[in-house]
Amino acid sequence: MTFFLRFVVFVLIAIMLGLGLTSLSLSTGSALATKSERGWKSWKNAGHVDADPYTRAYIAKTGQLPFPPQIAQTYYALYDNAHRRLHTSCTYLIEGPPVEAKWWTLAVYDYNGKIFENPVQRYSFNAESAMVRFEGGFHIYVSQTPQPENWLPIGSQGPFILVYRLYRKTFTDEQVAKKIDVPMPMIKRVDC
Amino acid sequence: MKISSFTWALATLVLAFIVHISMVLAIPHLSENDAWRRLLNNTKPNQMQIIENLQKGNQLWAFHAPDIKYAVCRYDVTRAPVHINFQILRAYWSIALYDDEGRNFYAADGFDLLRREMSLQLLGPDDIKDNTSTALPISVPSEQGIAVIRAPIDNQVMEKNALENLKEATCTQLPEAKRIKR
Repeated sequence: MTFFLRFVVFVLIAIMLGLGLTSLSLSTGSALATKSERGWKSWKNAGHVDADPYTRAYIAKTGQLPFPPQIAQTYYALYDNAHRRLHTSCTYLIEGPPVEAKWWTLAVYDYNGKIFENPVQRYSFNAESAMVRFEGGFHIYVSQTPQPENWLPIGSQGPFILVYRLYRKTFTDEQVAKKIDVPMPMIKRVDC
Repeated sequence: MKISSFTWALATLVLAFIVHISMVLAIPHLSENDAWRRLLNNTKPNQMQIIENLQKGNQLWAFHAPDIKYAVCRYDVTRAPVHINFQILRAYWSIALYDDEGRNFYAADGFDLLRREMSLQLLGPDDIKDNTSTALPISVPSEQGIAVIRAPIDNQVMEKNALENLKEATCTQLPEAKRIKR
């Protein structure tokens, strides 16, 4: 009897652990399948025909149709630079360096990958629509209340995700030699 | 039979790992939410459709880019090859082809092209290229799949031009009589 009970507990714990690990690796991104830069995460093989099983599972589970990597690369941010979860009750400043790509967009989504409906019907900024700073970078505020410069309105649903897409990244010789990615924007929490 | 606690713990970890790997491998086949199934419910085969008209408040795919206009064709080459034609207005406009598991096998954007007109001929496993056509022949890995034209837009004027341009895009199946088989 003791053996049977132990066996049942063993199976239950193993299943729960296995499912938990699956959920965690697909929601936060396994280190095997993603790369991180300043809190921005990208799925390395998203859009590849020979994508790894983690990437395929993530894409199928979330219902995305990823950009081919040679066309555009997609970066997701769930946390600010102090590793606090992004939340609609706070105001954030996205400080972008000069963008090293032919075109870019920054959009905000809820956790299901849907855009936030808002009265001004602004869901993203891109290379043309964003007000660019003198030094070439950009400042975008993400907030429920109106903000100066570039304001991206959000609803009041709770946690949210920022998505930054770079079309045809342009690398410097140094970046190619050192195999480093283009610089990513900083996400600073202004207030809550 | 006596089994030590260490053995139980080790066996638990091994089984957990097996459950984890099995789930990861199974999700793409079991998911009812993937891009292909979402498209199946909203489109007809071999017709180019502008996604904005399909949305009606709901996005077809998760993380749908708000500043991109999409034209989509759910191709099916079971009976005959499919031709896709459209014009690229900006260098960063692109076309991408995916199989019915959402895996991309072809992509091109305006930076790759020397002319604005783009013409593709999607061929099934038994088809050979029609030499009278100037379209780029592409052998598709699955008989059904997705062709997506992505048109990033800069402003409202561009949006209007983009939509007018995407409405001209076509996705048509050749008549079976014109099919050239191996």
